[in-house]
Amino acid sequence: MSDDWCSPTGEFEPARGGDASGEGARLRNRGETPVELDDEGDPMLGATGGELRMVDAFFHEVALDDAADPRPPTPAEQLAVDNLRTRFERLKAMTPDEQAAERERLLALDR
Amino acid sequence: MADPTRDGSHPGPPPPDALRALDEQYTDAVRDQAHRYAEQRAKRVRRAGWPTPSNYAEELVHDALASIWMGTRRWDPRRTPLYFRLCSIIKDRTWHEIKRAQGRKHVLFDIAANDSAIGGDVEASLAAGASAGDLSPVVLAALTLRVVEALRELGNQDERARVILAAWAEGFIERDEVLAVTRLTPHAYDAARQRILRLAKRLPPELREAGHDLLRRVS
Repeated sequence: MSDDWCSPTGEFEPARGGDASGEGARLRNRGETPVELDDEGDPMLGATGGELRMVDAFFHEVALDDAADPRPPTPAEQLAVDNLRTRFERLKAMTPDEQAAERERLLALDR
Repeated sequence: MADPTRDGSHPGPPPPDALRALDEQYTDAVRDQAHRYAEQRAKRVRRAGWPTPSNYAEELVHDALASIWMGTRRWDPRRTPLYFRLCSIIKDRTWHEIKRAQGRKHVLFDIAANDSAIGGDVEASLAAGASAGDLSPVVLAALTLRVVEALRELGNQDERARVILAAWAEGFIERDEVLAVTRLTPHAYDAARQRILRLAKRLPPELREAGHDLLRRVS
Protein backbone atom coordinates (compact mmCIF):
# COMPACT_ATOMS: atom_id res chain seq x y z
CA MET A 1 0.00 0.00 0.00
CA SER A 2 1.27 3.42 -0.84
CA ASP A 3 1.23 5.82 2.03
CA ASP A 4 2.67 9.29 2.07
CA TRP A 5 2.86 9.35 5.84
CA CYS A 6 6.46 8.51 6.67
CA SER A 7 6.37 8.10 10.40
CA PRO A 8 3.60 5.79 11.61
CA THR A 9 5.33 5.33 14.92
CA GLY A 10 5.16 9.04 15.57
CA GLU A 11 8.79 9.31 16.56
CA PHE A 12 9.10 12.58 14.73
CA GLU A 13 6.11 14.23 16.27
CA PRO A 14 7.15 17.57 17.66
CA ALA A 15 5.10 17.12 20.82
CA ARG A 16 6.91 13.88 21.59
CA GLY A 17 10.40 15.19 21.43
CA GLY A 18 11.20 14.85 17.74
CA ASP A 19 12.97 17.39 15.60
CA ALA A 20 10.76 20.18 16.82
CA SER A 21 11.54 19.80 20.47
CA GLY A 22 14.46 20.87 22.58
CA GLU A 23 17.00 23.48 21.67
CA GLY A 24 16.39 23.08 17.97
CA ALA A 25 12.83 24.24 18.45
CA ARG A 26 14.09 27.49 19.88
CA LEU A 27 15.86 28.45 16.68
CA ARG A 28 13.56 29.98 14.17
CA ASN A 29 13.77 31.18 10.62
CA ARG A 30 16.76 29.12 9.68
CA GLY A 31 19.64 30.84 11.36
CA GLU A 32 18.06 34.13 12.26
CA THR A 33 18.52 35.46 15.73
CA PRO A 34 17.52 32.63 18.09
CA VAL A 35 14.17 33.29 19.70
CA GLU A 36 13.34 31.92 23.10
CA LEU A 37 9.80 30.60 23.06
CA ASP A 38 7.52 32.06 25.68
CA ASP A 39 5.97 29.04 27.34
CA GLU A 40 4.31 30.85 30.16
CA GLY A 41 0.89 30.83 28.54
CA ASP A 42 -1.85 33.06 29.79
CA PRO A 43 -3.44 32.27 33.14
CA MET A 44 -6.27 34.69 32.38
CA LEU A 45 -7.16 32.71 29.28
CA GLY A 46 -6.41 29.34 30.81
CA ALA A 47 -4.24 28.37 27.85
CA THR A 48 -0.62 27.27 27.63
CA GLY A 49 1.99 29.03 25.52
CA GLY A 50 1.89 26.16 23.04
CA GLU A 51 -1.88 26.34 22.73
CA LEU A 52 -1.75 30.06 22.10
CA ARG A 53 0.93 29.60 19.41
CA MET A 54 -1.22 26.89 17.85
CA VAL A 55 -4.26 29.17 17.75
CA ASP A 56 -2.18 32.04 16.35
CA ALA A 57 -0.79 29.77 13.64
CA PHE A 58 -4.34 28.63 12.84
CA PHE A 59 -5.52 32.20 12.26
CA HIS A 60 -2.28 32.92 10.36
CA GLU A 61 -3.18 30.12 7.94
CA VAL A 62 -6.77 31.40 7.70
CA ALA A 63 -5.40 34.86 6.86
CA LEU A 64 -3.12 33.37 4.18
CA ASP A 65 -6.12 31.67 2.63
CA ASP A 66 -8.23 34.82 2.77
CA ALA A 67 -5.40 36.83 1.20
CA ALA A 68 -5.33 34.40 -1.73
CA ASP A 69 -8.77 35.63 -2.84
CA PRO A 70 -8.35 36.29 -6.60
CA ARG A 71 -10.53 39.43 -6.63
CA PRO A 72 -8.91 42.55 -8.12
CA PRO A 73 -7.45 45.06 -5.65
CA THR A 74 -9.66 47.86 -4.38
CA PRO A 75 -8.49 51.43 -5.10
CA ALA A 76 -7.01 51.64 -1.58
CA GLU A 77 -5.19 48.34 -2.03
CA GLN A 78 -3.90 49.41 -5.45
CA LEU A 79 -2.57 52.61 -3.90
CA ALA A 80 -0.73 50.54 -1.28
CA VAL A 81 0.74 48.32 -4.00
CA ASP A 82 1.93 51.40 -5.91
CA ASN A 83 3.45 52.85 -2.74
CA LEU A 84 5.21 49.58 -1.97
CA ARG A 85 6.69 49.46 -5.47
CA THR A 86 7.96 53.03 -5.16
CA ARG A 87 9.40 52.37 -1.71
CA PHE A 88 11.22 49.29 -2.96
CA GLU A 89 12.81 51.32 -5.76
CA ARG A 90 13.86 53.89 -3.18
CA LEU A 91 15.30 51.15 -0.99
CA LYS A 92 17.40 49.82 -3.85
CA ALA A 93 18.76 53.29 -4.58
CA MET A 94 19.89 54.00 -1.00
CA THR A 95 23.42 55.20 -0.34
CA PRO A 96 25.59 53.14 2.02
CA ASP A 97 24.91 55.63 4.84
CA GLU A 98 21.19 55.46 4.25
CA GLN A 99 21.38 51.68 4.18
CA ALA A 100 23.18 51.61 7.52
CA ALA A 101 20.51 53.83 9.07
CA GLU A 102 17.74 51.71 7.59
CA ARG A 103 19.40 48.53 8.89
CA GLU A 104 19.55 50.00 12.39
CA ARG A 105 15.88 50.94 12.22
CA LEU A 106 14.93 47.43 11.15
CA LEU A 107 17.05 45.82 13.86
CA ALA A 108 15.33 48.02 16.43
CA LEU A 109 11.94 46.67 15.31
CA ASP A 110 13.02 43.15 16.23
CA ARG A 111 14.33 44.04 19.68
CA MET B 1 40.08 37.90 8.02
CA ALA B 2 36.50 37.48 9.16
CA ASP B 3 33.92 39.68 7.54
CA PRO B 4 32.41 41.82 10.32
CA THR B 5 29.19 42.20 8.37
CA ARG B 6 28.54 38.47 8.59
CA ASP B 7 28.84 37.84 12.31
CA GLY B 8 25.16 38.38 13.03
CA SER B 9 25.58 41.56 15.06
CA HIS B 10 26.41 43.51 11.91
CA PRO B 11 24.19 41.90 9.31
CA GLY B 12 25.05 42.62 5.73
CA PRO B 13 23.15 42.26 2.49
CA PRO B 14 22.02 38.78 1.46
CA PRO B 15 23.88 36.88 -1.27
CA PRO B 16 23.45 38.21 -4.82
CA ASP B 17 21.30 35.26 -5.89
CA ALA B 18 18.85 35.99 -3.05
CA LEU B 19 18.71 39.67 -4.02
CA ARG B 20 18.07 38.68 -7.61
CA ALA B 21 15.32 36.29 -6.57
CA LEU B 22 13.78 38.93 -4.35
CA ASP B 23 13.76 41.44 -7.20
CA GLU B 24 12.08 38.88 -9.46
CA GLN B 25 9.51 37.64 -6.97
CA TYR B 26 8.47 40.96 -5.45
CA THR B 27 5.81 41.60 -8.07
CA ASP B 28 2.64 43.67 -7.83
CA ALA B 29 0.69 40.46 -7.27
CA VAL B 30 2.90 39.52 -4.31
CA ARG B 31 2.72 43.07 -2.95
CA ASP B 32 -1.08 42.97 -3.18
CA GLN B 33 -1.42 39.57 -1.55
CA ALA B 34 1.07 40.33 1.23
CA HIS B 35 -0.71 43.61 1.89
CA ARG B 36 -4.06 41.82 2.24
CA TYR B 37 -2.48 39.39 4.68
CA ALA B 38 -0.91 42.27 6.61
CA GLU B 39 -4.28 44.05 6.82
CA GLN B 40 -5.67 41.13 8.79
CA ARG B 41 -2.73 41.07 11.17
CA ALA B 42 -2.91 44.85 11.52
CA LYS B 43 -6.55 44.57 12.63
CA ARG B 44 -5.50 42.21 15.40
CA VAL B 45 -2.73 44.50 16.55
CA ARG B 46 -5.16 47.44 16.65
CA ARG B 47 -7.72 45.45 18.60
CA ALA B 48 -4.98 44.58 21.06
CA GLY B 49 -4.71 48.28 21.73
CA TRP B 50 -1.30 48.79 20.14
CA PRO B 51 -1.13 52.23 18.51
CA THR B 52 -0.64 51.93 14.76
CA PRO B 53 -0.65 54.36 11.83
CA SER B 54 -3.45 54.16 9.27
CA ASN B 55 -1.08 52.70 6.65
CA TYR B 56 0.25 50.13 9.11
CA ALA B 57 -0.31 47.15 6.80
CA GLU B 58 1.80 48.84 4.13
CA GLU B 59 4.48 49.49 6.73
CA LEU B 60 4.47 45.84 7.75
CA VAL B 61 4.97 44.63 4.18
CA HIS B 62 7.68 47.16 3.40
CA ASP B 63 9.56 46.51 6.64
CA ALA B 64 9.42 42.75 6.05
CA LEU B 65 10.75 43.21 2.52
CA ALA B 66 13.40 45.70 3.62
CA SER B 67 14.57 43.41 6.42
CA ILE B 68 15.35 40.71 3.86
CA TRP B 69 16.94 43.21 1.45
CA MET B 70 19.12 44.61 4.24
CA GLY B 71 20.00 41.21 5.64
CA THR B 72 18.45 41.64 9.09
CA ARG B 73 16.13 38.73 8.26
CA ARG B 74 17.16 35.76 6.22
CA TRP B 75 15.40 34.20 3.27
CA ASP B 76 16.36 31.15 1.27
CA PRO B 77 14.61 31.41 -2.11
CA ARG B 78 15.33 27.74 -2.79
CA ARG B 79 13.15 26.74 0.14
CA THR B 80 10.36 29.27 0.48
CA PRO B 81 8.56 31.55 -1.98
CA LEU B 82 9.04 35.20 -1.07
CA TYR B 83 5.34 35.73 -0.32
CA PHE B 84 5.30 33.16 2.46
CA ARG B 85 8.54 34.49 3.96
CA LEU B 86 7.11 38.02 4.02
CA CYS B 87 3.97 36.74 5.77
CA SER B 88 5.94 34.81 8.38
CA ILE B 89 8.04 37.90 9.16
CA ILE B 90 4.87 39.98 9.46
CA LYS B 91 3.28 37.35 11.67
CA ASP B 92 6.35 37.27 13.90
CA ARG B 93 6.44 41.03 14.35
CA THR B 94 2.70 41.42 14.97
CA TRP B 95 2.68 38.48 17.40
CA HIS B 96 5.22 40.32 19.55
CA GLU B 97 3.24 43.56 19.32
CA ILE B 98 0.07 41.78 20.38
CA LYS B 99 1.96 40.25 23.29
CA ARG B 100 3.36 43.60 24.36
CA ALA B 101 -0.09 45.21 24.15
CA GLN B 102 -1.59 42.39 26.14
CA GLY B 103 1.15 42.62 28.72
CA ARG B 104 0.20 46.22 29.29
CA LYS B 105 -3.44 45.21 29.82
CA HIS B 106 -2.44 42.50 32.27
CA VAL B 107 -0.45 45.01 34.28
CA LEU B 108 -3.48 47.28 34.44
CA PHE B 109 -5.69 44.37 35.42
CA ASP B 110 -3.30 43.27 38.17
CA ILE B 111 -2.97 46.80 39.50
CA ALA B 112 -6.75 47.11 39.62
CA ALA B 113 -7.05 43.86 41.52
CA ASN B 114 -4.59 45.08 44.12
CA ASP B 115 -5.40 48.75 44.39
CA SER B 116 -9.02 49.71 44.87
CA ALA B 117 -8.07 53.39 44.68
CA ILE B 118 -7.42 53.20 40.97
CA GLY B 119 -9.82 50.38 40.18
CA GLY B 120 -12.36 52.84 38.90
CA ASP B 121 -10.02 54.04 36.17
CA VAL B 122 -9.40 50.52 35.00
CA GLU B 123 -13.10 49.71 35.05
CA ALA B 124 -13.72 52.77 32.93
CA SER B 125 -11.00 51.61 30.56
CA LEU B 126 -12.50 48.13 30.32
CA ALA B 127 -15.94 49.61 29.75
CA ALA B 128 -14.55 51.74 26.93
CA GLY B 129 -12.95 48.65 25.46
CA ALA B 130 -16.22 46.76 25.65
CA SER B 131 -18.04 49.51 23.82
CA ALA B 132 -15.39 49.35 21.10
CA GLY B 133 -16.12 45.67 20.56
CA ASP B 134 -13.68 44.19 23.04
CA LEU B 135 -14.66 40.98 24.74
CA SER B 136 -14.62 40.54 28.47
CA PRO B 137 -11.72 38.45 29.81
CA VAL B 138 -14.15 35.74 30.87
CA VAL B 139 -15.85 35.50 27.48
CA LEU B 140 -12.51 35.66 25.72
CA ALA B 141 -11.09 32.88 27.87
CA ALA B 142 -14.09 30.71 27.01
CA LEU B 143 -13.68 31.45 23.28
CA THR B 144 -9.97 30.73 23.38
CA LEU B 145 -10.57 27.41 24.99
CA ARG B 146 -13.29 26.59 22.45
CA VAL B 147 -10.86 27.15 19.58
CA VAL B 148 -8.17 25.13 21.33
CA GLU B 149 -10.65 22.34 21.99
CA ALA B 150 -11.90 22.38 18.40
CA LEU B 151 -8.33 22.08 17.12
CA ARG B 152 -7.49 19.34 19.59
CA GLU B 153 -10.67 17.46 18.70
CA LEU B 154 -9.70 17.56 15.06
CA GLY B 155 -6.22 16.40 15.99
CA ASN B 156 -7.64 13.45 17.91
CA GLN B 157 -9.49 12.27 14.80
CA ASP B 158 -6.81 13.12 12.26
CA GLU B 159 -3.23 11.98 12.87
CA ARG B 160 -1.71 14.20 10.20
CA ALA B 161 -3.59 17.26 11.38
CA ARG B 162 -2.39 16.48 14.89
CA VAL B 163 1.30 16.54 13.99
CA ILE B 164 0.83 19.81 12.12
CA LEU B 165 -0.91 21.33 15.15
CA ALA B 166 1.93 20.07 17.34
CA ALA B 167 4.45 21.75 15.04
CA TRP B 168 2.50 25.00 15.21
CA ALA B 169 2.43 24.75 19.00
CA GLU B 170 6.22 24.52 18.89
CA GLY B 171 6.44 27.68 16.81
CA PHE B 172 7.05 26.16 13.37
CA ILE B 173 4.77 27.81 10.83
CA GLU B 174 6.53 27.97 7.48
CA ARG B 175 5.56 25.16 5.16
CA ASP B 176 9.06 23.77 4.71
CA GLU B 177 9.71 23.91 8.46
CA VAL B 178 6.51 22.01 9.17
CA LEU B 179 7.34 19.47 6.47
CA ALA B 180 10.78 18.98 8.00
CA VAL B 181 9.65 18.47 11.57
CA THR B 182 6.56 16.39 10.81
CA ARG B 183 8.09 14.34 7.98
CA LEU B 184 4.80 14.66 6.13
CA THR B 185 4.98 14.66 2.36
CA PRO B 186 3.91 17.89 0.66
CA HIS B 187 0.73 16.21 -0.54
CA ALA B 188 -0.15 14.92 2.93
CA TYR B 189 0.64 18.32 4.46
CA ASP B 190 -1.51 20.23 1.98
CA ALA B 191 -4.45 17.88 2.45
CA ALA B 192 -4.25 17.96 6.25
CA ARG B 193 -3.85 21.75 6.23
CA GLN B 194 -7.02 22.04 4.18
CA ARG B 195 -8.87 19.88 6.71
CA ILE B 196 -7.67 22.15 9.49
CA LEU B 197 -8.73 25.26 7.57
CA ARG B 198 -12.18 23.77 6.96
CA LEU B 199 -12.55 23.93 10.71
CA ALA B 200 -12.54 27.73 10.45
CA LYS B 201 -15.57 27.58 8.16
CA ARG B 202 -17.38 25.26 10.59
CA LEU B 203 -16.80 27.52 13.58
CA PRO B 204 -19.91 29.39 14.71
CA PRO B 205 -19.93 32.86 13.11
CA GLU B 206 -19.48 34.57 16.46
CA LEU B 207 -16.48 32.38 17.18
CA ARG B 208 -14.84 33.06 13.84
CA GLU B 209 -15.39 36.77 14.31
CA ALA B 210 -14.10 36.43 17.82
CA GLY B 211 -10.97 34.94 16.36
CA HIS B 212 -10.04 38.45 15.30
CA ASP B 213 -10.45 39.53 18.90
CA LEU B 214 -8.85 36.41 20.22
CA LEU B 215 -5.34 37.32 19.28
CA ARG B 216 -5.45 40.66 21.00
CA ARG B 217 -5.46 38.54 24.15
CA VAL B 218 -2.81 36.09 23.09
CA SER B 219 0.06 36.49 25.46
